[in-house]
Amino acid sequence: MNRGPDFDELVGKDVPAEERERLRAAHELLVQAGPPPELSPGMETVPWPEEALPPIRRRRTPTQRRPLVRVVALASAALVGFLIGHATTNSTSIEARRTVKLQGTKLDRDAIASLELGKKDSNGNWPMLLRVTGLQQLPEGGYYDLYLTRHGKPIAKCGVFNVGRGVTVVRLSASYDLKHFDRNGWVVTRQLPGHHKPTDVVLRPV
Amino acid sequence: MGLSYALPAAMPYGARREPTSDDALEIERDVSDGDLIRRVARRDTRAFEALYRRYARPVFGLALRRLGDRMNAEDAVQETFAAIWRSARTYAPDRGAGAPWLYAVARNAIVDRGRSRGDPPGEGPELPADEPGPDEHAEASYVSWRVHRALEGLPGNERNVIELAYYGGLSQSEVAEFLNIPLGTVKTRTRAGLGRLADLLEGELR
Repeated sequence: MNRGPDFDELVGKDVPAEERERLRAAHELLVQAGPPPELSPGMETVPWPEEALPPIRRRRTPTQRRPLVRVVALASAALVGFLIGHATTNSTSIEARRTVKLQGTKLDRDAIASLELGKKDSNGNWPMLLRVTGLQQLPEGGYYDLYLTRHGKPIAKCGVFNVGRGVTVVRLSASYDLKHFDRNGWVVTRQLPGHHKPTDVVLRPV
Repeated sequence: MGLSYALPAAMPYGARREPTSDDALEIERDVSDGDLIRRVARRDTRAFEALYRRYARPVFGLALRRLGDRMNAEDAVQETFAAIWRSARTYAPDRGAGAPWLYAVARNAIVDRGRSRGDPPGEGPELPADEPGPDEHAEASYVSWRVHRALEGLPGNERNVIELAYYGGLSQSEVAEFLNIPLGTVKTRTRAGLGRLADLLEGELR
């Protein structure tokens, strides 16, 4: 079991004994429980029972859904499942050689992120850990891309992710020679459903 | 993230209502689970949405642990909330608080989902002798359920620092740097968040 952060560092020494024990008990339960799972964006929408819906808003039943839409959705789910699984089954830290701070653009001013770049492995892959909070949750079919930039323009994709509420931590990888790109040149773009070009930059280096 | 799932017949594809505003949901923060369930029994859609916001992640976490894959777990979440809508009238406040009733509904829906895909009945797969038994698993599942539910009850700024510290692998000073707030604010929010969690988890702390 993950031992969690140091309790004394978290609460300090100046807490009365009784309150300290109460906080420690909450601390131990947090450690015991482990992290809550990230919800898929599709799950952010409340699954209204049919009888709770106004009749005009009722849509097709599942059996009437177009096969192509279903295949695309399943493929997206598989990809995202892999990414989330990859992110959650690994440690939430890497040995960072460089940390790049990213700040939300006017499209998402509340967003902030940090990108830790690890040591390149023997196959030429640079492990990266992206921590992000404040990005909007996108409608079904939308996603975010992490890009490397050259002369400020997004050029090489380093991975796809989505966000839930709170903090999202994602492990990604760059398989490029970084000297061909801008120093600290990472941006995050927003891909809304039906759009497939990196046009909307939502996070850029500070 | 573009996820899709096989929705039960009671939930038409794309079924949506206009989401309740954050302010309105904030008003529901202090309402007990039991009161929300009783309002759902009277077909109060805002109460249903508030319950979903509180319990989507705990139900999803429970389903993931029992079923082991996201697609089936997402289906189980949908089926759980369909069951809550259908059976809220059976909730009897004099027989216990809302959280255990919701846990029982979720557990039943998850077991049903497991059966529908041919899982053997029971708590889960057979375990080696040195692994925790079904009772320990059930207790751990319930603790996670309660803790994840309690996290949903924290104000966003407190939940963020708690999640970064416990599940994001960051030290207090790294949390401060990441969120671009003073270290003292991180400590204040952490302590306040732990205190609030202790209140919310009072039953588990005894």
